[in-house]
Amino acid sequence: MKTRKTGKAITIILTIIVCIFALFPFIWMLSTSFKTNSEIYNAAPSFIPKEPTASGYINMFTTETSTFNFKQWAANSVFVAFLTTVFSMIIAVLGGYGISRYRFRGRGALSYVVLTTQVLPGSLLMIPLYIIMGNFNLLDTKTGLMLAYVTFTVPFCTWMMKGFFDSIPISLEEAARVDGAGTFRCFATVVLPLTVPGLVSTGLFAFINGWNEYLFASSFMQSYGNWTLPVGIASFKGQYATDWGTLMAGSVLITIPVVILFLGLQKHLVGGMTAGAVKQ
Amino acid sequence: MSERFQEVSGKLDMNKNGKLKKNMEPYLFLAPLLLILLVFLLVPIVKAAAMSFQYYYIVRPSADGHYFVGLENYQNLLADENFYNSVKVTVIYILVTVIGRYVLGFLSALLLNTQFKGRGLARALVIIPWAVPEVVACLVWMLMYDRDYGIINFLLNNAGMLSQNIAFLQDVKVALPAAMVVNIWKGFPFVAIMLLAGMQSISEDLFEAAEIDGASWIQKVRYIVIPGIKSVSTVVFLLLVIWTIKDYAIAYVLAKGGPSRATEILTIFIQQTAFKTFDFGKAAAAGMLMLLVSLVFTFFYFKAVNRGEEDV
Repeated sequence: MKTRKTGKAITIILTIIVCIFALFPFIWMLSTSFKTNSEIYNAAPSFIPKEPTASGYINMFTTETSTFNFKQWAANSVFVAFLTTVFSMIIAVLGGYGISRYRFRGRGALSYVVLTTQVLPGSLLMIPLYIIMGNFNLLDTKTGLMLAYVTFTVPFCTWMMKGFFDSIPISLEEAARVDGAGTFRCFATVVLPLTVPGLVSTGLFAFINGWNEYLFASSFMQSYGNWTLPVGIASFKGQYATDWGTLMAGSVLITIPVVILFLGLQKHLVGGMTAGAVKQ
Repeated sequence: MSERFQEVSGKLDMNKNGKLKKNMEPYLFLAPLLLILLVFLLVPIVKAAAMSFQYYYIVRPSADGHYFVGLENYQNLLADENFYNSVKVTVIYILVTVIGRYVLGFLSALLLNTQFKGRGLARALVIIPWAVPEVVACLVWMLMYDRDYGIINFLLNNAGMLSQNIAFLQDVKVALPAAMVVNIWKGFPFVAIMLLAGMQSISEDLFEAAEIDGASWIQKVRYIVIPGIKSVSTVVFLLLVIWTIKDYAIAYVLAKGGPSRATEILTIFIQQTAFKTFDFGKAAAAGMLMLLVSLVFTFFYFKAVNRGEEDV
C-alpha cells in the first residue's frame, strides 16, 4: 500500500515535469509577447511581465512597410489555406468514398499509391514543380502555392475520408437504394450528412497544413506581398533581430488558432494517422 | 435470321451497357483523385527523374537548352564532400531525434496511461508542441537559446553549470544537438498520443491477472505493455523515420544549415543546390536518392500497417 502511494506520487511528479517541458516554450512565447524590450534584454529574465504591454501586438497590426505587412501575410495565409482546404476536400471526399465503397480493378494499387505519396519528400517534388509552375506562370502566385499544397494534402485527406466512410454501415445506403435513390443522391443525402465530423476534421487538417507550411512557401514566393505568415515571420527575425516582443506577439497570433483547432481535433487526427495500425 | 440476330445483339448491347455503367460508377468518384495524382505527382516525379539525368542550370541555360548528361549529376553529387556531410548530418539527425522522440513519447504515454487526477488536462497539454507551427517553434527556441539574454543560458548559469555563456545555434559543436532538442520537443507528443492509444487498447484483464500474480510495475511494462503496443510502435517508428527524412523547416529556420554546414541536413542541401547554385539537375539527383531511401522505409511501413490490420 505504501509503495503504491509513493508510486503515484512519482507518477504525478514526472507528469508535471513532462508537462513543463512541453509547455515551457509556449508559455515563454506568451510571456515575452507582453514584455517591454528593456525587460526582454535583461540578463535576469522574468517569467511574468513586470510592466505588461500590448505594443508588440499593436506593432504587428499597424506596421506596414515595403518588406513587412502582417495583415497582408495573414490574408495570404487564410486565402491559400482556405483554397487548399476546399480543393483538397472536394477531391478527397469523392476519392475516399470511391476507395471505401467500391471493389474495382486496381483498388489495392491505388490505395498504395495514395499512401506512398505521403512519404514523398517535399524537397524532391519542389524541384520539378518549380519548373512546371514557372512554365505556367504560377510561380510567386497564391494559386500556384495552393496547387503545390494539394500534392500532399489530397492523399492524406483521401485516406482520412476513406476511414470515415468505412465506419458508416453500408446497410444505411442499401435502405435508401431500396427506396429508389440513385448513387449520387444516396451519397449526398445519406452518407455525407453522417460524415460531418469527419469532413470537419479532415478539412481542418488540410487548413492547418496550408497555414503552417514553410518549404514551398519560402522557395516559391519571392515577393514580400505574396508571402504567407510562416515565411513573413521567419524573415522578420533576420531583419529586425532585436524586436523580440513584436516577433513573439506575431508568433502568438499565428499559433493560437492552430492550437485551438488541434486540441479539438486530436482524436480524429490520431485515428486518421494510425490508419488501422492501432487495434480498436 | 437477321431479325433474331439483331434482337440477340441488342440484348447483348443492353447487358454490356448496363454492366459498363455499373463498372464506370467508381471511376466517376475517383476521376478527380486520379487526375490529381497524375498531374501533380506522377508528372513531377517523372520530370524530376528526367532532370536528374540532364544538364539543368536555370540561370545558365546552354545553347542546347537542357540536354542529357547521363550519370554526370550523380557523379558530381558523389564527388561533392558537402553531399557526404549532409548525408552524415541527416543520419545523426534521424537517429538521435527518432530515438529521443520515441523514448520521451513512450515514457509520457506510460505516465498518461496511469490513473490520477488531472490526467485529461495533462493529456491535452502535452499535445501543444505538436500543434505549434514549426517556424514559430524555431523562433521561440532561438529566443530561449540566445547567448546574452536567453533563458536557457540563464538557468544553466544559475545551476552553476557554465563557465561562460553558450551561443547555442552559432557554435559548430552545439548547433546540431540544439536543433535536435527542438525537433524532439516538437515531435514527442505525437509518439506519446499514438502509443497511448495503443496502450489503451490492451485488455484490462491482463493487468488484473498480473496484479493477482504479484507482478511489479516494471514486469507489467516489460511483459504486457511493450508486447501490447508492438504493432503501433513499429508504425510510429517508421513514420518518424520517413517524416524526419523529409524534415526541413526546423534545421533551416534555426540555423540555415550552418554554422559551417553543421546542421545542413539533406533537404537543406537540396534546397540550396537548387535555389543558391541553381543546379537543378544535381538537386534532382540528390532528391531521387532521398526518394529511394524513403521508399525502402515505406515498404516496411506498409508491411507493418498490413500486419496491424490482420491482427484486428
